[in-house]
Amino acid sequence: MAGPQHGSLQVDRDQVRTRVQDLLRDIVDDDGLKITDTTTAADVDWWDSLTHLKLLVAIEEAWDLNFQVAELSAPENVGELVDLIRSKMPA
Amino acid sequence: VLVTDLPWLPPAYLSAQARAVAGADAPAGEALQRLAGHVLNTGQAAAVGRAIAKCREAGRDLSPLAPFRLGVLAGATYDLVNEGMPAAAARHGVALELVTADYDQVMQEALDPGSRINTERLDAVLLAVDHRWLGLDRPALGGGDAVERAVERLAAVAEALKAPVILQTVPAPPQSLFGSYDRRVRGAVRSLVDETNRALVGLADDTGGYLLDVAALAERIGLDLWFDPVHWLAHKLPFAPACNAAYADMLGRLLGAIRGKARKCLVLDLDNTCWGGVIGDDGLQGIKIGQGSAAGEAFLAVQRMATELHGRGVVLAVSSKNDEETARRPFRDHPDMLLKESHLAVFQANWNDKPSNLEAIAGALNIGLDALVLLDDNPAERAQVRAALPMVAVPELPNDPAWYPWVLSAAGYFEAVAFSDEDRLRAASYASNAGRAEVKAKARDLGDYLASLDMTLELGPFDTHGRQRIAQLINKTNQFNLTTRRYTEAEVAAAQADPDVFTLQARLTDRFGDLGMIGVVIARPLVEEEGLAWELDTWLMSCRVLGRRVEEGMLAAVVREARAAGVSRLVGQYRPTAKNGMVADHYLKLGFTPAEDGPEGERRFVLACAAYVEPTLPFKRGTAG
Repeated sequence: MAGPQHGSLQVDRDQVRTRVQDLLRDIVDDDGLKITDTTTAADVDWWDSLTHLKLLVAIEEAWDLNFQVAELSAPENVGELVDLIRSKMPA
Repeated sequence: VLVTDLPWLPPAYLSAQARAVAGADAPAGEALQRLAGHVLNTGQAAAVGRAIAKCREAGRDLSPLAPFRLGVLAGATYDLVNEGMPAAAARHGVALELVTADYDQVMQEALDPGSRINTERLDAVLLAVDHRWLGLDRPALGGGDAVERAVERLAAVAEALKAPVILQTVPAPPQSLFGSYDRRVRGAVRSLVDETNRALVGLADDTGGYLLDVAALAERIGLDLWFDPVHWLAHKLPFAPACNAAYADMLGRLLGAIRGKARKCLVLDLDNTCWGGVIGDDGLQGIKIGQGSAAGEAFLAVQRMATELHGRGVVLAVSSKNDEETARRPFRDHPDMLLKESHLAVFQANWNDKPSNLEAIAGALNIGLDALVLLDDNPAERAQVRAALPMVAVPELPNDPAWYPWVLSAAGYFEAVAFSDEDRLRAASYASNAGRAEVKAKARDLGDYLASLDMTLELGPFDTHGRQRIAQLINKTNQFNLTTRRYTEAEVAAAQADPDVFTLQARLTDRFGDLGMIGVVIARPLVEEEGLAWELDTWLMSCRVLGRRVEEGMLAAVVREARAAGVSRLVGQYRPTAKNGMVADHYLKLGFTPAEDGPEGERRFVLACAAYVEPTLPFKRGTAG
């Protein structure tokens, strides 16, 4: 894959991750919350099952997409979640 | 137009300031209700809910919101649904506090006298269960007592609970077994659900409870959208998250009705709301109302809706920018009007601003402003009323009047929890004499409002492109028309071509859209002893842009051009007609001084160009043509 294209994909990933972070900040009501690609729910105490459910629903609303049942339990960390969102966004 | 979008609410372009409200010291109830009156996404609704909770915990005054403690017993994952409820309740005048139970603990909580639901002194308990919890999710073709068991289960819960219950009707799942024949087979799920819903009505009556018609909501949204198999399987969400806001709003209006917060009075605009067109310009024959045309029938449907509301006790009033005699004519002389003066408790037709008229209406009826709903096609009027009187409900309306009755009904302003003989008679008990209420003249600062309209006023000479519309305005405009001189399109073209004649066309755009050409001036040279003057042969304006200082913007342009042409004075004329009383003082208001009457008895006014100072006006300037 060519370099410049890789660069723009990285920008897209950053944008998606930032928006996911914004959604989480709204859900947890904490403006200082930060996530990285390697953040997992188990790492942080605020990411419980209800937060996770709210996040999935907020993502569906924000990007106007629908997850499939298998996808809802698939992502292991934030990076995989970001990739999943990007795979479901219109090209 | 989708009910799940709550399209009657204005968009939240002032993104929710909920945290600011929660942090401030000022009384929060009104501010929170105002925030909740916008379209909110899930995060915004949750933020408003958190702000309400914080205010309550801090012991802050939430009035005028009425407190309500609601228990929620749900047979599914209700956390997300619950989260949207306080904002929706605030929209309907209620400060909601929730007491929830864990997932699927309905029977346990209800039957245990020591449970939180039974010890928290609640105002009501919502029994949020559907066909699955009730055991109606599979067919019972071999007979059996599925419906009886479901109803008995609900009756047992209702009886055990200390607080009144809110029962939910049951949406039928969309999967069918036989197809259309489901309705005719005893024991098909569709039949079981229908039978249960009929029984629920009786159960609500027997237990003194309330009924939340979730089945009706799911049907109008569409059962295929309502039921979301993915979220049910993954998280046991009771219905698609996209339906949360509509569900919460439906609950909010029921709680509002229980607390006496339902609206009592529908205030109707007239032109382009109750009939198509402008009565002052189009006349009795020109307005669209009644059978025979789709547009006329659309407005008839608005009137039918209003009269039906009147029949169930909603008070009707009129607020219209019109001359009173003109506005009353259709009610008296148009055979197709369904709405009569006898339906109307107050009839406000004048040129005052709408907020003042709404205050006059509420005063005359001795009800609060928060009991009013204003139906008005004009987005700028709606914005003005919302800005000045946020407690008045003002639904957003689509451009097509065919949707007006839908919006008015879907917004649920007149939710009821009872219907009595008093209700039946209430509307009549307000002296239904279509009387006029006194408007208390109030100095309202319109500056911010006008600035918020983001207006661009385009001014320029007549051109070929605009000629047809100019001729149309000249021949149609009756009210804001100083001389009512009619000219053919050829005469308009001649004025455009004549280098001695000054012409001006005005177009206005605001943040709601393009209002098109809305003003015309024609001035002819007049050689006087003092020098060259312009006689204002024609000055007219569309009534849609009244109160926006457009006439001042037009005068500024006329003076600029006059000075450039070496003209020292402007001479205005006013020729009174039956319809143009509203502009009798037009020139005086603009700073002209009265002069001798003209040869045809027209009143004349003079302005010296040198003495004119251009005011600061709320327009961006453009050039037309």
